[in-house]
Amino acid sequence: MSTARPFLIEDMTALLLACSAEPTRLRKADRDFYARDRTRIAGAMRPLEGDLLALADFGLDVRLDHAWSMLSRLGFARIESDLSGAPVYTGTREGREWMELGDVMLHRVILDSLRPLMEDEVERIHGRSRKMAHGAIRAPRLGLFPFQRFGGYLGGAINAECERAAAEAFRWLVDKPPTPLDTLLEHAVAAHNPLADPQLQRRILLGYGVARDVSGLWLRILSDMILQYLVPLGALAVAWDDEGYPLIELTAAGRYLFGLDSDLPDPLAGLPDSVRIQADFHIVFLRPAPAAERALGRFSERLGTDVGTLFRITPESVRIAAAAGLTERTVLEALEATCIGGLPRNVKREIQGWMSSSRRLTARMALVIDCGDEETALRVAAEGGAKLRMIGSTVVEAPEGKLPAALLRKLAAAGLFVEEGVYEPWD
Amino acid sequence: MRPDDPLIVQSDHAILVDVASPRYVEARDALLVFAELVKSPEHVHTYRITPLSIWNACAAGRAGSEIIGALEEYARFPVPDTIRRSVVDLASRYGRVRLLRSGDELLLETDEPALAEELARHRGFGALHGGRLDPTRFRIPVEVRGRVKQALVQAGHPAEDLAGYTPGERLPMQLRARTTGGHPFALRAYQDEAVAAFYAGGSTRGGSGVVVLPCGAGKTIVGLGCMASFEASTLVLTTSITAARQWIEEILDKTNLPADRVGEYSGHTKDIRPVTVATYNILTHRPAKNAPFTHLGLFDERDWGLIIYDEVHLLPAPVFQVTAGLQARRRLGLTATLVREDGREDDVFALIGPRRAEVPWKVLEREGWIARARCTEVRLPLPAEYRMEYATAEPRARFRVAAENPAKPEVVRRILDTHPGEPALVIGTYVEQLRMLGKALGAPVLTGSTSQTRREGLLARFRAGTLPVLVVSKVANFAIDLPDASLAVQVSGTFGSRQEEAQRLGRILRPKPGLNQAHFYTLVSRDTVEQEFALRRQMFLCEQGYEYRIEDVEPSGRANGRGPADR
Repeated sequence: MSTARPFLIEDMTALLLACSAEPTRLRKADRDFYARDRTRIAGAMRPLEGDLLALADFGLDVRLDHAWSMLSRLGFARIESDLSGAPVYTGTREGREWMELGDVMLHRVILDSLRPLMEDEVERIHGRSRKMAHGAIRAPRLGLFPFQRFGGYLGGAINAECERAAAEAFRWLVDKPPTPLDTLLEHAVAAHNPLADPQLQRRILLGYGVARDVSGLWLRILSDMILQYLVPLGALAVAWDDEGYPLIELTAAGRYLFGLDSDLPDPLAGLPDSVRIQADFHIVFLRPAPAAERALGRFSERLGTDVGTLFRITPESVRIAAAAGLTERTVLEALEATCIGGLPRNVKREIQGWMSSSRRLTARMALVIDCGDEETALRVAAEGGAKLRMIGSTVVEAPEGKLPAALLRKLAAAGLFVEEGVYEPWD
Repeated sequence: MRPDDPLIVQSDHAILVDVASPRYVEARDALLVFAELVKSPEHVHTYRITPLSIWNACAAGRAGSEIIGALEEYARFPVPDTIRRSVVDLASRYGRVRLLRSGDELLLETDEPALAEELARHRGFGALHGGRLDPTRFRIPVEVRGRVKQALVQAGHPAEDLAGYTPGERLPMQLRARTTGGHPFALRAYQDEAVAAFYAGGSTRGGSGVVVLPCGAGKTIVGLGCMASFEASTLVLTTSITAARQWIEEILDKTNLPADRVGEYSGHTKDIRPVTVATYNILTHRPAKNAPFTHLGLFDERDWGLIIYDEVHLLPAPVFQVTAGLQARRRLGLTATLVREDGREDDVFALIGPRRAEVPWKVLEREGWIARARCTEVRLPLPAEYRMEYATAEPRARFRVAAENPAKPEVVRRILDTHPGEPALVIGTYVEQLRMLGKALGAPVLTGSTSQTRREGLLARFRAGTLPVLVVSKVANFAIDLPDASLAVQVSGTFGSRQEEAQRLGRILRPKPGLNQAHFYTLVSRDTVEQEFALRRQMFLCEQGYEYRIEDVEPSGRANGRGPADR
């Protein structure tokens, strides 16, 4: 039996949740997480099944880095400076919009960003607005080509060619039973090798210094596609034959990615009677249901995996979810779609309350002039015109966060001498 | 996978039970023998296997193989190997050492010389035994019997105590077939079974242990049944003077003992009779902080044949110490929960005895022996003029500001109006608030400072139905028998204490005529720390399986439309 799981989506949501409620501080030297934060975030990631772990080094550290990379490339999270100037990793508005989506759309947005399509086709599907017709956001197109791309003198056209050829190769798997991986790769080299063109080979030779036979490079590109995207996004299922060689199979996500199906099936639809949401806010899985685990893990605290009491909904977990962009509707829909025995009324009521008490506030650096008395404050504000505004009876703010030299001169000419001060706490 | 089977056995020793399974009831009955019920919300109940739960099962005659067999019989997925090993190991430890009587002496024996060596080197046990008789036997001084049992539990080798009991002073007595009021009286089936399990035919395999029954299920009656079985002088220890007097009333009402055979030993009276009912308070009283406990001598005042510990989960530490020296007396613990907030469940097992009987409250509810309870949390805003006081208060004081929300009396009144004719308790923590409520509702207030005479008068009127509403402080938390209360409104509590919640709810669980429905309301100031503490209580009640609703009201008293699903 083959295993497919879009664990990259799970990892991306786990990381986004972790850094949205409270931007996560990074080390100044290398702008990486501190070890304790790595441990904390990795702790929220679900361990992988043995079938997948045997395929490659999908350790938690590697998965975390991969999730970081994807979120950053998609613009869903980025490094910023906090108010003290320290680097932090934080979710963006686009990231929150993505998190707000239901389970299917969450997955679909990422697959859409990889689909090997022509730009006009993307435009036709997505339209010009950021929000697509079905409510999902449009993420930047990453393409299926692995992280390290051809470029420069070789021209980006090779990337698109490789994507198209790879798509053809993977489409070859459709409706086939689990197929040996080397059979697929042999087929891809023989029937869909864009690097077979001698002219192209010479350019690659010059640009990359690879050996004369570039078929090895094509195999590497395909392998990277499999390991960086197709397996982590659940587009390929993995199994092992009796001799310990990997078998792969195209899944519903794969069929969608390669344009064989027009939409993704809802993984929560037709879920067997397996999840119970208890009035004490614990979520019990009576049998394994990975899709439900993925959906519920976005707003609840993980206690276990596979079967048993896997999650607990807490005010904290809901607050973190709200910070990451989930809405009351998303949370309740996920609960109602997964829980068979009905959502207890007290649980629904509390979630509504916790969600509605969440607020998004904005902090910005400001420059204020402490005028000492109201009359002075009025004079300063009058001299400053549009560049200054009163924010209290004796305090004037420069909304742009700076006092231009011309304004300082103007104030000085009026007998108002501004000098730099330090914050003094109240008694 | 066997989807129809109800158990999911986890490697962390938790067992989940799917209530919807067709085999749920038989699986639950099997589980109760060797696992502790942790929580029982609507869909999936959680049990846990612990060393004590396995030893309790062994004390009831179950073998490790039977426990594994029961798990395999009902498990949906294969039982984890770690659990098999753990159960076999724990079960094999019980009974490997036995405490026996030999003339006037006690002996501890085992069949395994290596185990005897290991125990001899154990720090706790090594300091207690009175020397070795041979490679497998130790002499045990009579006075350290209890401490030896404690040490052996800590060493992971609980002793099977077969040393027997002193018979105690004989006291012929019987349960009445009709109470003094003329009502028919007999033990209910589950009470009878609990008495039989404790009595164990009068053998040394019984005579000590704990009976676990939910509030309102008649634990006192089980105590009376045990007294009548042994027909021996009995010391009953209770949590309060009111509870002590209610024990005395029950004894006189339901047994044939005359009043002159029953005494009260409390702060008010020191009357020692063949049946003496005392309080934990008087036993642990001492004139100064470091002075000796002056009343612990009560345990030696008579040749008690049975000691009953009411609400054993509250047994205070000094009484534990004395109990360690009373292992030759029969001991019965009564409680609604084996869980102690101080974590001394081991001591209850070692010093009082293993669990002898337990009946889940859901079973009793279904059979109509206790009332169905509907729990409702009513949230109301803190009036605007109190918001600033709340905002600027110290964190601990905030709770009180929220708890004493002056809008609460109006809401209490509305709740009482929706349950006309139902006897109601209004329960709170802060006396000032209760006095204000009493005034607003025109109801008397019963607090710790209410004189005993007035207290008894109020309770009598309440029982008689001439007093429809009674405002009570924390004194009502324990063992006040108010058989006709079917409505409780909680206006303030102790920082979300789960034990307090259980006790307060217990006040209204006695069976009711008609629909057998009780209502338990908790008033909470919205968006305050009180709401956070209420969440703990909500969790607790839901874990117990009670239906829990949340309603919002505005100062006018009308529901404001939030949370429509709750109505």
